[in-house]
Amino acid sequence: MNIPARISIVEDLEEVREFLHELILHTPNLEPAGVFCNGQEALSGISTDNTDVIIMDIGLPDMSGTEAMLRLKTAYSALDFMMFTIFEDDDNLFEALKAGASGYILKRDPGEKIVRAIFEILEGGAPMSAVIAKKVMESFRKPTPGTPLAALSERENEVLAALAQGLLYKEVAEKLYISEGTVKQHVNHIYGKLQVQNRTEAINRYLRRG
Amino acid sequence: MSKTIALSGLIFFFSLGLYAQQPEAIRFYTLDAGNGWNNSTVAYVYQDSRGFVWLGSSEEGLGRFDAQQIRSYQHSDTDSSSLADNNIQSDFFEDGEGNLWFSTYTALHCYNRRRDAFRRFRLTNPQGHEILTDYRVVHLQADGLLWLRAGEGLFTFNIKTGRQVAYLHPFPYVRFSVLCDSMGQVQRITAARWMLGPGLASFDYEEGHLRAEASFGLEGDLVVNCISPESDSAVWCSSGKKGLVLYNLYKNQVVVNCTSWQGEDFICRFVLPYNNRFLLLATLEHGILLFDKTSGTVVHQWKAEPGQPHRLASDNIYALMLDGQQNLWACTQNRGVSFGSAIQQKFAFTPIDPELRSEITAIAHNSKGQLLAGTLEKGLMLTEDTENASWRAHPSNAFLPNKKIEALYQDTASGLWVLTRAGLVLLPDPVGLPQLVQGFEGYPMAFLRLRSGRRILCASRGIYDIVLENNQFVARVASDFDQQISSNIIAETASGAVLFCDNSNKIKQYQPASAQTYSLQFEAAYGGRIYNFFQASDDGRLYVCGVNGAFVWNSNTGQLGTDDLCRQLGKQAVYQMQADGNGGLWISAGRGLYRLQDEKLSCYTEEDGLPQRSSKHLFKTRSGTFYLGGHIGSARFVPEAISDNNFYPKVALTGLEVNYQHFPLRDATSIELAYTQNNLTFSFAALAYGAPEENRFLYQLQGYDAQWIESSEGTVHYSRLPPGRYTLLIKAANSDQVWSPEPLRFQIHIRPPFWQTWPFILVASLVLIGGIVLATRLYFRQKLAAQQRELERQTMLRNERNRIAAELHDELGQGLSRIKFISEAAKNWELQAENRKKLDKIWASSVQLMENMGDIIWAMDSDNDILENLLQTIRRYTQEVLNEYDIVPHFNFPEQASGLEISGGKRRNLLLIVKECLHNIIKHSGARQVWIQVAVHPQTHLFIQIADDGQGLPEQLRAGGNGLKNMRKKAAAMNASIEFSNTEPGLAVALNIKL
Repeated sequence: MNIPARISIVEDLEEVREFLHELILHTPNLEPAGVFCNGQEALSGISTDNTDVIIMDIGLPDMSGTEAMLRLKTAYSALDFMMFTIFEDDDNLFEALKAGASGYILKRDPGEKIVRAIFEILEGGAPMSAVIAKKVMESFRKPTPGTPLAALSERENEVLAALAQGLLYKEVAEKLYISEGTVKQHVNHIYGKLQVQNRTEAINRYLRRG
Repeated sequence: MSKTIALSGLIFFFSLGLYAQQPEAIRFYTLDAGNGWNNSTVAYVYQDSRGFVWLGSSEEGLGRFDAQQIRSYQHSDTDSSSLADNNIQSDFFEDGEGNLWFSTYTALHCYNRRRDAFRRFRLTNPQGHEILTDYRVVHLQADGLLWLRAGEGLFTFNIKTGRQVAYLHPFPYVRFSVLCDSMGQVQRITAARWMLGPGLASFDYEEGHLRAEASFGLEGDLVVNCISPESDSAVWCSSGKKGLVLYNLYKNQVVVNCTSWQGEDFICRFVLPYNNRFLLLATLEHGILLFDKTSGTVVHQWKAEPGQPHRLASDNIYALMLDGQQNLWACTQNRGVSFGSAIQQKFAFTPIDPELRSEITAIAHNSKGQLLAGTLEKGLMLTEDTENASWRAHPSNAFLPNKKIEALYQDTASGLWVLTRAGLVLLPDPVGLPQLVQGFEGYPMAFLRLRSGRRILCASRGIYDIVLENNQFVARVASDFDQQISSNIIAETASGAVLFCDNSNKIKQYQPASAQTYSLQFEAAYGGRIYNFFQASDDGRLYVCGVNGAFVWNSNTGQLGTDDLCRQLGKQAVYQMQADGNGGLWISAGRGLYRLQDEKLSCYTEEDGLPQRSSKHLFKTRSGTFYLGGHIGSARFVPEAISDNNFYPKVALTGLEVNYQHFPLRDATSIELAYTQNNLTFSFAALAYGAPEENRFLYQLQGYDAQWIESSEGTVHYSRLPPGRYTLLIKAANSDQVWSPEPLRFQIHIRPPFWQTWPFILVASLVLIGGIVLATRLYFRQKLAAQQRELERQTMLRNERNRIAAELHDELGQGLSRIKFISEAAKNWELQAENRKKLDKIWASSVQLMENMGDIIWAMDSDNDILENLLQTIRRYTQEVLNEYDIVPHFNFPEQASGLEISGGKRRNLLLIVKECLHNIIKHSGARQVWIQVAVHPQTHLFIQIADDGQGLPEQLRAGGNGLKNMRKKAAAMNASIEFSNTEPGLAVALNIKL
């Protein structure tokens, strides 16, 4: 990518904001876009004109990160969101993913990892850990009422099951005799179906008030 | 008029047969103090429609007799439904509802059958005063109008409306009688003054008016005691001086007059018409007289014979009644009530001249139609075959060598053979000198002329032919009967075989082998003395009559068998059988004289008039009369004239005791009782008075008794009947075994105790079911509640944990991430190496803390209790950590984790141990590969092994070493064992956890 990607930051802790800003600033091909400390500011400040990827803290003071993401995504569907969370096994994170987040980073991850994750999203991949994979499986098992089931294909199920067991993408590829890239594609599809299935529900839940 | 009487009498005469139809010897029973009936004067006797006989006495009130006992009704001061007084003063009249109307001296009474109670009525005289004396009911019309004398007047009383009409007041007549038309309406009243004076008065009754007509017979001697209308113009009166007169009211003269019997004047007190031809008279001193209207004379008398059983109780008769079954009832003065069957006696008696009295051993008749009888001791007797004949000595008696007659045989060709102990004598018939037959040994016992003409004599020493030689009969040994047979019996069968009986009572049948010779064909043992053979003519059956009963001899097989008659007769001595000409078979047997007619077997005994119950000799004369031999005379009868008492006896329930307490039955036909009232004693009676002690019963309690039970007592007791519906059926038979066709039915319903009734059971079961359902529901509800409470508790716990987790997450997480980010940012500062190290530590600590916190939160989430989750977490963590250091992990996890649960505390410790191991491997082992193996022992153990291919642990460090100590501690905390072993290369850490 030649044009540096513009990364916006939505985080209420000042130190974290500063750190991220510095990190992105000093990473080639990445460019800090806006820095916001709450959802309102983010909503009014972010647009596709100025942002490509948004690092969104899940727990914002005035609204949940998921809600902010949804609103922004409704306005600007091309935006990619990376949820920033303390805890991985968090239902809020899963909700965010179901609602359309492209990926997530843990707050305890070192800076390099954060950067890697951003590049992954920019390349179109969506990370899925074992924990998330398990949650995804369960989600597909229990269809949400009102929406038609978006069933997974056999391959996707296999990939999902392997991921749920804790295999890395590399190991999944080995196990299923496919390339790692194919695995990533499958994961994208899975996410897509998950989000299709759950988007309406998420919109209803989070944007009802709006 | 006398012509019509005579004609009707004649018709009657012929309709009943050729023999005298007046009842002769009536066998009386007497009700007196012995039956619980005081010997007071019974003036009135009546049989009601049910069959009970009511007795009205002048001092003892009423008695109701049911052929077994008398139930007494008397006046009671405390009971207004009892009699007004105990002086019964009228006959009884029954109305349409079966209630009895009569009067006592002081009131008119109605006995209500349904309530078993009396209702009293008093009339008022024209002056308006209540009449308290001299009530006498004379007639009850079918329309409910009662004629009675009360006080000094003649009244009618309507039993339906209670309206009284005084017809004549004063009515100075003491006795009166009504003449009714065919509808039972009063037409004429004839009255007499009796003790008040002579003469009769006659009143016409037409359209509600009583018109005095005339007074008659005021001659001093026509003091009329009782009146019986003969027609609308003549009445029979009994007069004190003139005996019995028939007085013609129109002609005002005596038409018939009868004052004496056998030279004695009699005084008649009551007149009862009998059989249209006769009148029965109750007399003051002469018992009962039978007056023949046609001849105008008394023809028979029944009088008391003290010392003789079954006679009238007294010669002083007050009143008479003939009941529905032809029994004559006579109320005596002070000696009780006698009653007896007036059905003509069955058996006549031909007495033997006292000098000749001896047991009859044989009967025969001669060509003149006379009867001859041989006796045991006195030789031969002769009689005419008529009534009123008697046995007298036979003229040839003197010629007999011996007076002991064994047998007689009528030989139509030659005469009468007389078998005496001293020899065989032939009395030629009709004329001729007696012949003594010689040529045989012993004395003659039986004689028979076969159809072939051959004469056989059985003597005590052999069997002989009696043949005529030189005009003389002699005896020759019968060579083909080659046995010594001696018995009285010899018979010829329809097929020509000859039957004998030998000394051992074997029956021997000889078959004719040729024209004159016989050969033994069969021999059969009877087992007792044989009296006679009898060949039934219609079906050829041959009966053997003997001491063990009757049997049938099969002359084709020589076997003895039985048939219905034999079985019915049973095991008693059967002496002889004779058929009458009308399809009846008469059998003289030990228990009496039997008659089999139309498949019905009746039995006649002394009660029926037989002089003696059984006789060995039953003889039938050519004219059809039967004679039964005896020793003081012979019974004589004509089968056609013997009729049974064919009146079906009525059955009545006379008493009931429930639980041994008297229970008023009244007129009920059914009864309802409680379940505790289940000991029942029923008393019942057969209302047949011919010979009350011969009445028999058959009863059955349907629903309890499986079959009919015979009884001669009129009581039956049932104890502890279970609840239910029963019907008591009772049948009765009179003395001639004529059974009532329809049984009496009495319904009994013993109500079950309420806990056995359907509604109760239903309700109880519903309640029970309801109770069970309720109890079950309650139980499950409680269980559910408990479960819910548990669930709530769990949820609360979980919520609590989640809350803690959330707080941790929020509070600690925020803080730690701050520390981490600041310290990470600070890595870019200019720092001395020492400080940089410290900073690194801060950063690492915070990261570690965040990780640990994540683990704790993870452990607290009980969703992760499933082993699967734990294994996945181990795998994920291992991969993350080892990946950094390029160590290759190998996992050997069970495919199916079988849903095992491992609790939070253990999970945490386990994970910590694993982390510690991995940490050690990374830090100290220098291994390139790690193998993690997990095995699950079903339900009990979890086994984890972490092995590496590194250096292993030096011995001394294995025991001590902080890290290892820690691991041991953690293992102990979760009740697991941990082992370290060198695997050359490498170290294996084995963890065995009890779940």
